[in-house]
Amino acid sequence: MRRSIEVESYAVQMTIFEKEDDRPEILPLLKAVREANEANIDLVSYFQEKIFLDMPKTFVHNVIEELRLLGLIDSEWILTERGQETIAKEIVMIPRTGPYRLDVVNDPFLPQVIIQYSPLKIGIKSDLFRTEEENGNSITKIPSYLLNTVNSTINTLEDQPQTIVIKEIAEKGTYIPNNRQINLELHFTEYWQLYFRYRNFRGKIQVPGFFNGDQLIDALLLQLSEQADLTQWRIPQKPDLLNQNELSRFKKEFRIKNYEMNDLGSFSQVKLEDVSIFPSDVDSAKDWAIKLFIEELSSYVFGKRYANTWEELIHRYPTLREYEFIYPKIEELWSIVPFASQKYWFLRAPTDMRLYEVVKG
Amino acid sequence: MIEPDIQEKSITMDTEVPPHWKVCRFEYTTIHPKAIRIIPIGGGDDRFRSILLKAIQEAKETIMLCSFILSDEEIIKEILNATKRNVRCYLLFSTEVQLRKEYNTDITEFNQKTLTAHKKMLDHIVGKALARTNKHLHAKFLLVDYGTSDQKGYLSTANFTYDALTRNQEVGVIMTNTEIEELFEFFRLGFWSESNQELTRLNSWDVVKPESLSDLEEFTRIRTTSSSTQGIKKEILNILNRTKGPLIISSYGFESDHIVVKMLSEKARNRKITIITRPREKNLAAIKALSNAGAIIIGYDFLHAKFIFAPENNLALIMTANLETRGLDTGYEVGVLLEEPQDINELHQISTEWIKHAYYKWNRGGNVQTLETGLIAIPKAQNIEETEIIPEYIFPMDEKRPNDLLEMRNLMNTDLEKPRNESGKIPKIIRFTRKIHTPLLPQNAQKINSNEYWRNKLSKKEFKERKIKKFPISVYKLKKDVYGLVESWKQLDKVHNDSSLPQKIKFVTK
Repeated sequence: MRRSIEVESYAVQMTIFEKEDDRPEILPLLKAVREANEANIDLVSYFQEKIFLDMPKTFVHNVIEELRLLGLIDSEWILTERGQETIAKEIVMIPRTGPYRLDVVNDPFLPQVIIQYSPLKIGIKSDLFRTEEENGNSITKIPSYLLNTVNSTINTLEDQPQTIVIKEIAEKGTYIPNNRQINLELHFTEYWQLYFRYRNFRGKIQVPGFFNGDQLIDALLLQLSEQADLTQWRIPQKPDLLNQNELSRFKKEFRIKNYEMNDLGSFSQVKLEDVSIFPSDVDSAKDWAIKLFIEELSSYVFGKRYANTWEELIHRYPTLREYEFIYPKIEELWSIVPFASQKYWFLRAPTDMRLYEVVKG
Repeated sequence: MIEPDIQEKSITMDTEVPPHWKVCRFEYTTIHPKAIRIIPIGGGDDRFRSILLKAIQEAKETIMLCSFILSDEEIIKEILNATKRNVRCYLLFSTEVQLRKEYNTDITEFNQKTLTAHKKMLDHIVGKALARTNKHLHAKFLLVDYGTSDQKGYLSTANFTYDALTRNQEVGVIMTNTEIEELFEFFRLGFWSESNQELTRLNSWDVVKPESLSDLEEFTRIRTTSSSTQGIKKEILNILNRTKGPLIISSYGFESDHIVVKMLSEKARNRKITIITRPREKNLAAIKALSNAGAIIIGYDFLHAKFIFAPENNLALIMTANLETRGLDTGYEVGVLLEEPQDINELHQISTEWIKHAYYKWNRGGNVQTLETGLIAIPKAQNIEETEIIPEYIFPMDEKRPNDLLEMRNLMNTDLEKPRNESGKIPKIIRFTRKIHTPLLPQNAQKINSNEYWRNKLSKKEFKERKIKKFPISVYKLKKDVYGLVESWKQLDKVHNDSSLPQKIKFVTK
């Protein structure tokens, strides 16, 4: 199942926490804070004793204050949730404030709104901060789904994904026109898989938890046929609509265009491969069997040999065994195959020239 | 007067003429127009061919045809037309390899045009009719709409080529319903068990596994040769042993070593046996043996029919097999037994006419005086030499012109020599003559006397000393030659030794 989603881009002032690799001292400091918290020891003393030996208290206070400003400890000098997370993940996230370009989508299948971001090198005087009257660019209200990302962790969708935490987003920004799209492909073979392609990057993301694949398949099959057998996920078919491959495999490919999923948007193309098919009724089953018989016929048949060939065929195709039909008389097949074709002779010559089975006395 | 001498001689020849075919007739007349079931073919009589064409044209359900080769374009066209009417056509042929072998051995029966037409036929029928082959399939028959109330069946000694169905001496048989039933069983056998290849695509013969059929019942009216039967051979031997009285046997091929041919030779000592065949080098050994045993052997250039007929026993077998191992012991052949008076009568008329109007009669040869005059054909190593026995051959007169009467007299006393026969014929008597012309005095010769002669011949002294005698006869001179003129043989005798005459004188007369 495929769909393309338009990507919107905004230039917006925001504060984010970005991964910082250049502050190796922070993790040991946080671990020391934890130890002090657990031991219920004054943090300043603990730092002085354990880390900043012989450093003046003012220095220690400054360090602690920085930790607080980074949001890693609160005003009581207790580890915040983020501080604990930093220790647990061993990833230090540093807050940064400034103008950023955000590429965003709003799709139920994508786990996040922001798919990519990049800092914008612009000054305070830039258009971003001008009013509509001043710069002619549209200053627009940032969509609520984007504002709702505050305090959420985002892993960008790119070759080397970046992890950020949105701390603050301005309510207004500038809409940047573009014609970017993100393409989604939802696959099901043994399990559901979701792929995306954005610009040059293709990746796989987790199918959302709310997604019910079985219900989707049921719905798709019912779209194809109201008589779909949902217990075995198969579609009834009449054999004259099928090619030889479909007849012998009992599988067919279907395509649906612009399929609308409730609350999950529409997919421009749905391709269902290897959908199990079965005869729609007894007559179809018989016709189906006849087509298979004729296709597979490769030698002269008469009498018992003809009957045996039929039995073998039915035995090989369990689906046909579900139907009770009597295989046709050989004469019925004469008018079905083209006159004077090889299959025709296989069926006709033994009757014309009485090919009996061997019984040598 | 000395007249020219004419001598004549005739000799009765005793030439030994080798065994040969006596050429009897040059025309073959259409015979037996009222034949009902046994139809003669040949000499432009194409009734049987017309019957076959009509049957194919009217076919509604099936056509089953077996022939060593099929190249008659009209028959092919009608078969293709039949397929357009959804008539199911089943065809049996010999293999192309075998056909090329036959072509190399007998170009009169199969020529390049025939082979090409057969190949073209195969290209056209693929996908329209079902054809099978094996090298030994040699029978020739046609079944139309078998199993319906309109079923028809025909057995032919002729292959289904235009020449065979119009030119050759052949026989066709319109089969009865019982015979058709049995012929169908035989076609079934040929198709399922005797064939080993099937034409599935253009230029492509696929190998097919022979099917084993349930045991066939013994045939009552037809006789067959197949991988499991030698019914034709058995029936021929049966006829030879069971019947008495004359026998008429027709076959394109005779194998001298075959038991059937040997038995025929044996029977020929005590029974009147007439053989109708085609003059072929391959048949020669058998023909000689049969002839030596007393059989009468007649031939046609395009004889191809095969049957054995005991007219006084009302029994005959018309078949597609020649009297050879391939055909009697191995192969795929069929024949039909005739016992009904009407059938016997029809075959009798055909064979009687053929014997009566035979192109050739075999003759054991011998002294030319014992043979009839007329055209003959002598089989040679690679070909047949045609010549003629004639009553008399008169050689052109042999003429001699001696220069001198003495020479003339010598010639007259010499016996006539039998001349070399370069006539290309074999005469019973030869006649030859010889004329000896009289040597005459040349017109411009001048008379001379003895003195004139000797004066020129001798020196003065010799002339003076020699007693010159007068010539006893008139002597003439022309250039360096000297002629003595005599009037009779008597006078010649008198003077030819006269020393007064010049030594190198030529005696002549007027």
